[in-house]
Amino acid sequence: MSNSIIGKLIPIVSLVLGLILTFYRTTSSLELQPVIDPYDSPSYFNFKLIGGVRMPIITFIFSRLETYENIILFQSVLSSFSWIFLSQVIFALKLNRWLSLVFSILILSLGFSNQVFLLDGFINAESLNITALVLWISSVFLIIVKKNLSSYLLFILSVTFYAGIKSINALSAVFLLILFIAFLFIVGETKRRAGLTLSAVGIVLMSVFFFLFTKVDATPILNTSALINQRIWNVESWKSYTLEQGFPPQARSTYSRFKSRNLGIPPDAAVSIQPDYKKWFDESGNSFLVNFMIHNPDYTIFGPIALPIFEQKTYLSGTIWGGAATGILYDEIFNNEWFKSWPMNEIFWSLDRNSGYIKFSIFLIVIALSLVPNLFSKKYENQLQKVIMFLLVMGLVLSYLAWWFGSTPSDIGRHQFPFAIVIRIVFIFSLIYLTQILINKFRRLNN
Amino acid sequence: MVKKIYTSLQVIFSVSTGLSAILIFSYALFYLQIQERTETKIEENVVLRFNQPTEYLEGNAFWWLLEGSNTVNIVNFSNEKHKGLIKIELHQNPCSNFQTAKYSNKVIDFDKKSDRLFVEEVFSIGPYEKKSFELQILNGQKCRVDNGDSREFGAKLVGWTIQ
Repeated sequence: MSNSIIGKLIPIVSLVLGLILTFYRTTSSLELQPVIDPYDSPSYFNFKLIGGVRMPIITFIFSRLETYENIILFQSVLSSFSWIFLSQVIFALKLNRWLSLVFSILILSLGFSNQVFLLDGFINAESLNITALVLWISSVFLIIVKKNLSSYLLFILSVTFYAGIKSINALSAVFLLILFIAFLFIVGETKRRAGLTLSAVGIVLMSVFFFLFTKVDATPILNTSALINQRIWNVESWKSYTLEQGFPPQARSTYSRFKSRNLGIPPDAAVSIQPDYKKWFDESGNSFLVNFMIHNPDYTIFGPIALPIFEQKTYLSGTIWGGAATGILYDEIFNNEWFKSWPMNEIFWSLDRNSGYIKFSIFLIVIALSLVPNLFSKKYENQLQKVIMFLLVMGLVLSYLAWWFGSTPSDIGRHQFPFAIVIRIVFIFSLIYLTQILINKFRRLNN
Repeated sequence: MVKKIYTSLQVIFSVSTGLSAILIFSYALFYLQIQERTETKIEENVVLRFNQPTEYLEGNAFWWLLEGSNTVNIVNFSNEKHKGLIKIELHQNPCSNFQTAKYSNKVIDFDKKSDRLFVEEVFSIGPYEKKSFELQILNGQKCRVDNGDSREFGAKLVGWTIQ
């Protein structure tokens, strides 16, 4: 068989494997019961273009799909499609074809691992959030590699989709668009006209996203209470600042009382419905987190990555690293039928927290190493390395924003899951990049 | 100029990512694994469960262990390995004939002076693992009550701690 035929067949092998996995994924999904949060899930069916509790794209999709079964099927198929798409993007990088096949399968193994699979069963934004993120990452690669109109269109569509899923995404999308446009200009990877067009479209999109972000009343009242009680209250100087800002001490008593025993609702929810807390929140508390971050720049910069330096009773599990290392793995998830009915993929995830940290540090080492080649060379033409760096920055931005405004210690795995996914994808591409360099070196030595 | 910016970013991100990796690796290996520390508290994440129903007297929970073999289940709700000591406090049965507790090759006699018996078992349990051990209760004679309850009472388990 000629080389060109093999070259064409290899991506098809990966594609067929992806389609087989999609078939098993969707059929398995339909046999399982949807996971519904009685307080949270109904809000996703209430479509409002502007305002409301949830972002318009997700409420539009859920309200049109109507039933839980349709939503699960939609989430499952779209998620599978996004991962197959990313696995096919590897072939566009024009690397060694067998190497591309191996890593394309590795991408599929991540996308079809049980931590990603289980999200399909939840009637909330998490599955579509990861799907949109994966499509966005794919489009970034395609823009850098192909530089054609369709890759720019896919980029704009995936960014819009991503921003319309969660309110924090709308804010993240603003930052990420600025970063991406700056990145394109800095690395000179776009034609002037295309860059200017993308900037113009980007400014319009950013304005829309920011507008929608300000109009959606997601759960800041709950998150502010949770972050104060679970994180900020533990450090004396932060606690003093919080009290100076008028946070009612009775709200803390309520939190402690509801935490000490099961009184029917979670402690954060109990605080958020307390009249004096609500009054404080309406008067000044809604800007508390931003003001707190401005007054405590050390918390803002180092808190997400090194919280234990402020409070020794906290651990790495309270930082972005903790959430990203273990993924969404709580006791109730471990015992969920969605988690149990699909293989885990030990390459990327661990049941044991400690080995999760060790694996995650290996991912970071590989990413760090992939940024070293070409460091002192006069050329800087390697496109893959540039995308790796951009995605790393993008992951950190997502992670920081989620940590500042939502990642309470008790739910950090879910909030940091997009970061966990980005780092694992970046790790795979870093591994491809380093392996390709090694192969090239061997070839040169042999010649 | 562009090359300089790119190189500076390359240096910043490769060094900071590498340092973060080393710190996380050292933390996991040296701080947690080698020194056998855990991030989660054992007393909040490992619990005991018994096959017998929980009963209450004046708001205090207790369990009637039956004569013969009783299974004590240990459940770890965290994703960390925990090592610790289980301490179970046993009191006399209604017939006052509870004599001995046997478990894991240990035999402990009921102390009539203190009117209680402590079962102590060192354990190690993996992430989300469920384990069990057999606790045998031996009486001098069969202990039955005449209120219609057909159980053969062994010992009254009044409390347990995990440290």
